[in-house]
Amino acid sequence: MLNESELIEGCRKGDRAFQKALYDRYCRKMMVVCLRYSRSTAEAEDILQEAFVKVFQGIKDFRQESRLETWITRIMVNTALNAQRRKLYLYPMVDVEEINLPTDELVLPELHFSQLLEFIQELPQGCQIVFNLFAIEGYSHKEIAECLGISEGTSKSQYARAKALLQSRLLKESSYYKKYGEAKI
Amino acid sequence: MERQKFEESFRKSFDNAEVPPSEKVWMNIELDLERLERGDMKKRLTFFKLLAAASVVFGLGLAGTGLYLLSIDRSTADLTAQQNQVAPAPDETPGIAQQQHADQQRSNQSSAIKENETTPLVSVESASEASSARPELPSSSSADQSLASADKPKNEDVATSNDNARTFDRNAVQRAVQGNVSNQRMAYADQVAATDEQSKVEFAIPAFRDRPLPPLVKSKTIVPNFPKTEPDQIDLLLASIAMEERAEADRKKYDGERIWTSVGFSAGTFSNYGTGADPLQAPALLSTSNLTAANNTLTSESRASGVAYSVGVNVGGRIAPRWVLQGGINYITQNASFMSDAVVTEDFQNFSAAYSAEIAKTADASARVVPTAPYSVNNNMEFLSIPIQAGYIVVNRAFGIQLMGGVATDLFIQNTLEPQSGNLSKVTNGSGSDSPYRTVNFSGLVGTEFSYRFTDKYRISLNPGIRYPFNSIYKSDVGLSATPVTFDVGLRFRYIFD
Repeated sequence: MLNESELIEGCRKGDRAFQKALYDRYCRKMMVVCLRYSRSTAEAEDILQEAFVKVFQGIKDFRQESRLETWITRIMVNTALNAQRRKLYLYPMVDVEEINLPTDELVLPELHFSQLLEFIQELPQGCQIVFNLFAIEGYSHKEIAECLGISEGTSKSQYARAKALLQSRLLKESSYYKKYGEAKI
Repeated sequence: MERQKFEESFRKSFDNAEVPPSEKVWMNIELDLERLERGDMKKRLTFFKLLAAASVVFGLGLAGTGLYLLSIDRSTADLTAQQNQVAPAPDETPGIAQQQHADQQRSNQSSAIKENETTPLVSVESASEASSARPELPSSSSADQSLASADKPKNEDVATSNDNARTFDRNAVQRAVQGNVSNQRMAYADQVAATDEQSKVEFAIPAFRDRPLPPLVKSKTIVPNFPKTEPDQIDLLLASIAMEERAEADRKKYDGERIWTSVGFSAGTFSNYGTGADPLQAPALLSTSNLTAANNTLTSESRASGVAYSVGVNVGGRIAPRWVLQGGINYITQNASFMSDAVVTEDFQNFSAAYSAEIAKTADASARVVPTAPYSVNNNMEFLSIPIQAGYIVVNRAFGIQLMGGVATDLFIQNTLEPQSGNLSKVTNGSGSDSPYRTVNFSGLVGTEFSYRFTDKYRISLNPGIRYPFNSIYKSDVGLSATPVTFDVGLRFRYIFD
C-alpha cells in the first residue's frame, strides 16, 4: 500500500494511477463531508467531483504542513460552501428572534450516522451550513461570520436554531422523546 | 458543558463515517482532468502558434525590407552608370572613367570646402548675391561659373584632393585586398591623378548640369565651419584592410555550409478551415433520425481539430550563395477528438463506432447507422511526408535566418479510431480502397528558420511553419472535405558535412 508521500508525489506528476489510488483512499470519507453540506446524494457527488478535481490541480502547491486528509477535507468544505453561497445569496440568513431550547442535559441517542446525516440534510440551508461549520468542523462564530459574510449574531442565532431543530428531531426519534418533550421553535 | 457534549457526540458519530460514492464520480473526475490537460496543451500550443505566425511575419518583413533596399541600390547604380555614359573618355576603360568621375566630384567638393575654410562664415550679402544671381543665368553660364569655381583651387589643392582620393578610395582598397593587387591599385590611382586635369572639363560639365540648383537664400544662413580633421591615413588603410580580411574570413566560414543533414521533431496544432460534409442521401436505407445522427457524426469528424507531431530527417545543400534546397522524410501524426452520436451495426447485436469509413459502407448491404447517446472518438492519423523546400538565407552568420517554402508529398499510412465509450472497440484502417483518406496528397509548406551555429559542424534551429494541403484529405466519394492547416514549431539539429 502506498504511503501518503508516495501518493502525493505520484499525483504531482499527474499519474492517473496515483490519482485513482488517492481518490479510492479518501472518497468515502469525503462523500460524508459533502453529504453534510448538501440535500441529496446527487448534489453531494457533484461537490465531491469538483473538489477532487481541485485537489489534483492544487496538490502541486500542497506543502505538507498539515495532514493530507485535513487538507482534502478543507477543499471539500470550501467547495461545498462555494456551491451553497449562491443559494445563500438568494435566501439570505436572518437572525432568529425566539428560540426555546430544552434546558435539561441532552445526550445524543445511539443513532447511526446515516440517520444523523438525514437530520442535517433536512435543516434549512443557512442552519445546515452554520451547524456543520460550528459543531463538526470546529470553527468559531467569528470565523463563520467572516467566511459567509454575515454577522456573528446571525451565525449564533442560526446555530441555535439548527441545534433546536436537531434536538427536536432527535427527541422524536429517541426513547427520550417522552421525557423531554418537543422543543418549541 | 451541554453544548460541548452535544457537539462532541455529533463529531464522534461522523468520525469514521464512510459512504461510497457512485462509480460515475471517478469517471467524471477523469474526464474533467483530461479536459483540463487538453486545455493546458491548447494554451501552450496557442503560444507556439502565435510564435510561428509572428516569425513568419517577421521573416517576410525582413525579406521585404531587404528587397526594397536592394532595389534602391540597383537604381542608384543604374543612375551612376547613365551619368558615366554621357561623356566617356575615348581612350580609357569604363572603370577608369568612373573612377575619374568620382575623383573629379571629390576634387570639386574639396575645392568648395577649401573656399569655406578660407572664409569661415559666408556673409549674408555674398550668399544672397550668389544665389539670387544663379537663377538668371542660363545653364551653360551656370556650368561655366561652376567650372570657374571648380578651377579656383590651385594645383596643390587638386593634388591634395587626389592624394586624399588615393587614400580614402574604399573601392580601390577592396579591390586591392581581394585581388592582392595593391601595387596595381597604386599605379592605377597615379594614372587617375595624371589624367584628372585632362578630363576635368569633359566630365565636370554633365555632372554640374545634372546637379539641381540650390534654393534661394533669403534669410541669414549659418554655414558651420567644421574643424579640419586629419586622420592618420596609414591607420585608415590598415583598418580598412583588417576589416575586409575579417569580412572575407567570415564569408568563407559561413559560405562553407554546402551540404548538411538534420534530425528534428515538431509539435503544433491543426485546424480545419472550409470543411464540410455533404448530407447523406440514402432514404431507403436510413430513417430521418439515423440520417441526422450519421450526418452529425460526419460533420463533427470533418471539423475536428487537434494536435500534430512530426519527427524526421532532412538533407540540404546550398545551390547559390543565398539559396538552399532541402528535402527529407517525416513521420507525421495528427490527433483529434470528435463527438459521434451514432453507432454502426450489421446484426443489431455487435456495434462499432460510427465514423466516415463505416458510414460510407452503409450504402452497401445491411449495415445500419443507429443513433445513440453522444460519445467521444479519438482519431489518430499517421502520414509519411516527403518535403522538398527552397530557402532564401536572409542572415548568414552564426545566427541565421532563412525563409522556406516548398511542397510535400503526404502518404497516408493509417488511422486509428478509439471510441471513449467503454463498449466500443478500437478500429484501425490502413490506406487503400476501404480508407476514406486519400493515399497520396500534396501540401504547401511555408516557414522560417532561426538557427544558431554553435560549433563548426553543428547548427541548431527553430522552425516555425505552416502546412496546408492542396486537396481535401478525404477521398471525393466520401462526401467529406477537410483541409487541415497545421501550425507547428520544429526543433532541428543540423550536422554540416562541408
